[in-house]
Amino acid sequence: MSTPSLAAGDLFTFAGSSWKTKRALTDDPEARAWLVIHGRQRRWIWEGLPRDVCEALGAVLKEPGSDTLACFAGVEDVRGAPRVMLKPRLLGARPLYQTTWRSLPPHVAVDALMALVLDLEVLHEAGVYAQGLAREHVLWDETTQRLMIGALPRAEVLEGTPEQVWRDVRLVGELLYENLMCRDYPGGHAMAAMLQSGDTESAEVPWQPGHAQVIAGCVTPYGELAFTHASMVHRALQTLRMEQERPLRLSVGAHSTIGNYIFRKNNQDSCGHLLMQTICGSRTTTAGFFCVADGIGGIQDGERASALAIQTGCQAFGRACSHPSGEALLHKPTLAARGIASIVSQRLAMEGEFVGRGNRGGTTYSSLVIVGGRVGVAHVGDSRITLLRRGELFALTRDHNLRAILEALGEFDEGDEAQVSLSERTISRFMTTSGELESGRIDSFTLDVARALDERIETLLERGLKVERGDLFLLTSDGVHGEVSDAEIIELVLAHADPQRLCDALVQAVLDRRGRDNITALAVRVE
Amino acid sequence: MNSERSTPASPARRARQKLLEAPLDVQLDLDLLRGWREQRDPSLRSSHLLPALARLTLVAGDPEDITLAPQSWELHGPNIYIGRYHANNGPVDLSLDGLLDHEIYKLGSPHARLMLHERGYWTLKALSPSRRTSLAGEVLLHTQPASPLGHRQHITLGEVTLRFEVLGEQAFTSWRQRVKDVLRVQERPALYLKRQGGICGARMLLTPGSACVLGRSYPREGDFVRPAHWDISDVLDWDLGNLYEHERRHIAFRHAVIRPLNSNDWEIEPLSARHHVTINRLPITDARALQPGDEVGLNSVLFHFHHPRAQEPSTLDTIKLPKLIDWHSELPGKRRGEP
Repeated sequence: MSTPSLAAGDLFTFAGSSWKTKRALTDDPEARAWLVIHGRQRRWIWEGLPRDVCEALGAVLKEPGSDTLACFAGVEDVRGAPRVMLKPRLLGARPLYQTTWRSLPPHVAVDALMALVLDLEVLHEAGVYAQGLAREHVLWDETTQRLMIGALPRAEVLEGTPEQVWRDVRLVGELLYENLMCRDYPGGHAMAAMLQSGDTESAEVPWQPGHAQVIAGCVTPYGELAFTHASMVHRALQTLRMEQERPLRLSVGAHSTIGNYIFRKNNQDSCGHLLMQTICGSRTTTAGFFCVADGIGGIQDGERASALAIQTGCQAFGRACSHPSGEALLHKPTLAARGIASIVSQRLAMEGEFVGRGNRGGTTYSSLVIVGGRVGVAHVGDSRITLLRRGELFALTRDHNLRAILEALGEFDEGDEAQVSLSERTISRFMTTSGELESGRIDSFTLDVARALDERIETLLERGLKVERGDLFLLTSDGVHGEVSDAEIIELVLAHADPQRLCDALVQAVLDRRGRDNITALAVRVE
Repeated sequence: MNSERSTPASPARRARQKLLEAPLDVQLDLDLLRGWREQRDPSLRSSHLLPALARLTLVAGDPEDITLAPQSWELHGPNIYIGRYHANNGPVDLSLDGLLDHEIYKLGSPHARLMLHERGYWTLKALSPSRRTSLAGEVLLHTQPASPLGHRQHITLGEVTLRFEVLGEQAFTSWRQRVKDVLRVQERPALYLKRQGGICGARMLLTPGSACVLGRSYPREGDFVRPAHWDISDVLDWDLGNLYEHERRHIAFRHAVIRPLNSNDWEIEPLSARHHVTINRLPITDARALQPGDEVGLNSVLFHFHHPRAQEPSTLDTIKLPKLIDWHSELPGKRRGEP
C-alpha cells in the first residue's frame, strides 16, 4: 500500500474549489477514505483506487441510485493517481462499533444488512468487487439505522467468480452471527463445522429459522449452499426478515338483533366482514373488510338496503382480493374503502331503478379495510367506527345528522329536548336507492381524527392508519352508541378480550336498558 | 362565514389537495371493484367550449385541512341559477358541489340568480325566502329587485362567501359569437350538454328515424353481477356515465328517450319513475314534443335541443320557470322510520 497522499487537516483543490480534509472516514489508516469539507459542503474522497475502478464507480454511482451508496461527484488525477470525490447520502455515518452492532434488535440488523447487500449488488453489477469487504470499511448511520460502504481500498474490476462474491458477502454472515449470538464470529472453518454437525440446535441462543441458511451461504464459496451472487444473499435475508416478523392477526366478532321494542317488526341493521389470510413463502398477508349498515325507510325497504350494502361491499372487496391488480389497490386502504363504498352506493341506486317494489329505502354505511397493517375508513350516516387504543377511545367517524349540522351552525340547543331528539334522528347523509352518492360525500379520515391520533392527515389519506397490536376497532349502529356510554364501552372492552364475547356483552348491555332500536356491534381486535 | 375555513392554501398544499381530492374514478379502477365495465364518453369531460364570463371563488380553506379543496366555479352563461338542486324546484345551472354539510343545509334550491345584461353589467337576485343572501355585506331579500354586482365583490349564500370576478370586458360578445358559430355549422338535430350556464361541447347527434335513449352504464345481460330479475333493455344510445360525479348522480341508468315524431319533429319521454325530466324547467311525466331551442333537464343536468330551424338556444328570459317553493320547513335528510 502506498503512503496516503492526504492527511487530516490538509488543504487541497478539487474541481477548482478549495477543500479541507476533516477526518478519516474509517478506523483503518490504510483505507485512504476521507471526509472533506468546503464551506457547508461535505464530501468523501477515496484515494488509491485503480483507474478502471474509478471509471466503473463513475458509471454506476449515479443519482438517484441506492439509499445508502454515496454518489459519484468527480475524479481528478493527482500526480498520475486518481482521486475520487463522492457525495454521501448519509452525513452522520460513523465507523461500526461492536457494542452498537451487538445491541441492535435482530430485525434492525437484518434490515441494515439487506441495504448493505443491495449496495454490493450495485457494485458487482458494474464489475467492482471489494476483494474482501472488511467491517472496518463499513459505516453505521444511527439516524436511519443503515449500514453503508465507507471505503473500498482493495477494490478491483473483476469478472465475478463465486470466490470474488464470497470475499465480499462473507462479512454479512459474520455480522449476522455476531448480532444473533452477541459474540465473536468463530471463523469460517469453525462455523462450517458447527453448521455441518447441526450444533446450531444446542446453541445457548436459539437460532431462528432463516439464520442458518444465510450464514451457511456466506461461510464458503464452495458447495451447493454457497451464494454465488449478491442477490442470493438478499433473498435469504428477506426470508429471514419474514420469519422474524410476527404477523398481525385479526379476530372478529359480531352480533345484531332486532331489539326489544314491540313496534319494531324487523332488524334493519346488517353487518358483515370478509377476512383473507395467506402465508406464502413465509410471508403472511392479512386483508379484511368490515362493515355495519343501518337501514332507513319502510319496514322491508331499510332491511333490504342495508343487506344489499353489506353484500355488495363484501363482494367488491373479494374482487379486489382476487384480481391481480387489486392487490395494489388494497395497499391504499383509504382509497379502497372509499372505492368500495362508491360501488355500494351505485348498486343501491340501480336497485332503486330496476326493481319495482320494496326498495325505496336507504342505509348508513361504515366500513374498514385493513391490509398490510394499515386501515382505511369509509363512512356515511350515523353508524360509528371507534378505535380503542391503549385504553383510550378515538372516534374515527363523525355522525352525519342534523345535530352535527346545527352544532356547526351554532344553532344546537342541548336543553331543547325536542330539537335534540329530532336532530339526532334526522340523518343528513346516507346511501339511498333514490340515487348515487358523490364520492366526495363519502367520508374518510378527517383532520380532527388525524389530530386526535397525532398523525398527518396526508398519511392517513394516502396510506391509511397504521394499526398496532392491541387495537380494537368497534363498528356500531346507533342502537348501541345511542344507549351505551364511552365509559361503559371501555369497561366492556377491558372485560372481554374475545371480540365475539365483547359484541355479545355490548348487545346485552343495550337490551338490559331499553333496546328500542335495532342493535348491531362488530368488533375487530388486532393481535 | 364558518370558522372551519380561512386563508387560501400554499401551491404545494394545493397540489397535494388536488391529488387527494381527485375524483375516485380517476384514482381507482372502480370497474375492478364493480365486476363490470362502465362506458366512458371522453367528450363529457372535455374542457368547456365557451369562454368563461365570470368566476366565483370560495373565500375559504383551512390551510391545515387538506380534505377541504379550495373551490372555484366558472360561469359559462349569462343567466345562472345558483344553489342546490331539489326536484320540486327544478334544475339549477350551477350546483355548489363539495361544500360542508352545514353549508349545503343553508343553501336554497335555487338560492340566487346571477345575470349578465346586454349592456355588460352583472346583477344578483336573491331567490330563496328562507336562506340568507348578501352582497358585500348587505342582505338582499327575495322580494327585492336584482342588485348590480361588481367585479371582486363578495356574495354570501347562506354560510358560504364567494368572490365574484368578471373575466374580460369583451367576454360576452365573444361568448355569444362562439355559441352562434357552434350551432350554425350543425346541420342535424342534436342534444348539447350544458354546463355552468352554457353548451359545453359534448353532444349527441339525433338520427332521423331512430330513437335515442339517454342514461348511464349498468351491467348488461351476460355480466355475471347482473341479477336475473332485472327485466331491462340493454339499449343505451348516449351513455352519460362519464359526467363529473356531481352531475352524473342526477342521471338515471335509463333516464329518458328522444323519439322522432316525423322527419322534422321530436319528442322526449321519461323512462324512470324516480328521476325527473323537465322541458324549459317545467317537469313532464309523459311524452312531450320538443321545440327547437328547448332546454331539456334530466334532474339538474341540462341540455340544449338544437334543431337547424333555430340556431340560438333559449335564454332563461324566454324559459318559463316553475314557481319557487318556500323552504322554511325543509329538513336536510330522512327521519328514521319514514319512507
